[in-house]
Amino acid sequence: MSTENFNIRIMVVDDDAMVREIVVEYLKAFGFTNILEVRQSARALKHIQDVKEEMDLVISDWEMPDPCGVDLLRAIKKNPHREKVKFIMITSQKSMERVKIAQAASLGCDAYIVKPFRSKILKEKIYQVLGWELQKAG
Amino acid sequence: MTKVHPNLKWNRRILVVDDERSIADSYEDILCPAESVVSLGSSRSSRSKSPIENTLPGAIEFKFEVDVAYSAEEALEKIKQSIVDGKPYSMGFFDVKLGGGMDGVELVKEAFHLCPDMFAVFVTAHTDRSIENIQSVVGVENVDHWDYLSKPFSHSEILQKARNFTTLWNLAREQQVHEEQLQVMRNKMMDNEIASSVAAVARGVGHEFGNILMQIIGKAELSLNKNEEGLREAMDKVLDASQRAIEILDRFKDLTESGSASVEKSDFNLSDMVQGVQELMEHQIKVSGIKVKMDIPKGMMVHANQTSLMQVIVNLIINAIHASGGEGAVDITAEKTGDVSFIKVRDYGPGVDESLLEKIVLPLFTTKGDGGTGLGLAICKEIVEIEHKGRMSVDNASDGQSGFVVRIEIPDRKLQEVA
Repeated sequence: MSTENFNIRIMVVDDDAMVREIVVEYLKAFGFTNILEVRQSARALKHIQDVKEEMDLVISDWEMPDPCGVDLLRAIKKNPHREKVKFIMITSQKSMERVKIAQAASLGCDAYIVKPFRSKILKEKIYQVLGWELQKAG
Repeated sequence: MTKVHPNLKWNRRILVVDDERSIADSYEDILCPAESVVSLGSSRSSRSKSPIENTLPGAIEFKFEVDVAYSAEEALEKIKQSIVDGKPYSMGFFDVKLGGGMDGVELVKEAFHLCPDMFAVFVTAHTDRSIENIQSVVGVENVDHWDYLSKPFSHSEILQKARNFTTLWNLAREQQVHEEQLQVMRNKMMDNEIASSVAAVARGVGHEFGNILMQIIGKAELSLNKNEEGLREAMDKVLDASQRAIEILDRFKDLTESGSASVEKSDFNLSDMVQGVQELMEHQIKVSGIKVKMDIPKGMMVHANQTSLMQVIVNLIINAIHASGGEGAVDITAEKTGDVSFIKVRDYGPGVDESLLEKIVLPLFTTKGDGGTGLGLAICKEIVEIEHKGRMSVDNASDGQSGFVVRIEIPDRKLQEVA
């Protein structure tokens, strides 16, 4: 288990302002301080490709106009500079969910969250992908 | 729905009406002689044959069912009873002179009224009514349903008429049953197609609800640690999100309101309706990457079944999204000229090959390969032209840019009711 570091750089990508705002507020409530909020997925892709951009964790919506969440996931996983970056995918409850989880898993997605979710779930997933130990009280 | 057995049982019921008992009864000897079930190719029975069979070797391939009436009144009773029993006569032989009040021609006029599918053969003597006179009594609309035989008649003439008309009756019924089946299938496919476009919208709505619930849950959860002001602010957001959910649900109900079963029309604001469709489809539109531009005069009213017209707009937007392939725009414009509302939906996709333009509105025709059932435009056309007595045409854009254009005309209430 690594030690908690609330200074890690987290990029939150969602074209829906409501969801993005909630995710960011959740992250702040957990204690994270270094958050990059991105509305347009094309811009997020640029951030990923720009190796000078610091990045430890990406939390991204799946369904966005090109590029979609999976495109961002691919861009992370095939980029040697980003091999340590963890990726959490958010999507809505749908019949295709299982297929999507399988697809995301095959591309190396570290965790997957179905909307709507409570803060506890997001925290568990973040701690899990970062290899941090979750305090029971947390 | 009428179910058809592959071997639909043929109706060979025949009514014979003649006031002379010996003549009336002789039809039975001709049409259903004893030992009559002899088919053309079968070997002869060794049992005794009737003289008729001997005179007409192989002519009787099946057995007719003959009912005899000796007066017009008795004939009408039998016809009525046959309808009640669900065993109508396929045809009848009618003596023109029947002794009593009503003659054979008036009887047939009455019989056609009760049983429009039935065929009639008049059996006349030269002194009876003329052909022109029969025609004028029985009616022009029944001209294909009767024939005549002059007395004296031969057995083979009777057999031939019986065979021809029962065959005609049964072929007509088979055709009717097939048409009914086709119509049922067609309706089913149309319903399926509407259901699948509604399902496409529903998926988007589901996504939207996920986001709204995210907002409600998130704001509520985050407000727990806040002071009174923060709490109030969060509750405002929760209420806003809930209101949005109510609006989406209302729109969705409009779109799914008992579908094709509902025929109720009303005057409603077109711009509000199209706006509503756009909101319902916000997710699909957003993910597709296309822009929907609407230019409809505020306050423009349309007389239509709102659910059906929403389904048309949904279908056309889905088509435009497919045609646009990830980018581009859809323009939805409308204007009212006199008593007619004109709606135009235009995309900026590649358009449709000129040679296919006529076919593209036909059921089952698709340019999307496996990606479409080919009913989208056919349904739109049916809703516009049959349900609303309007017109729908398709064309490629003619303004120099590529694109596909669907034009819809919906007449006002008065014109719809007159048409």
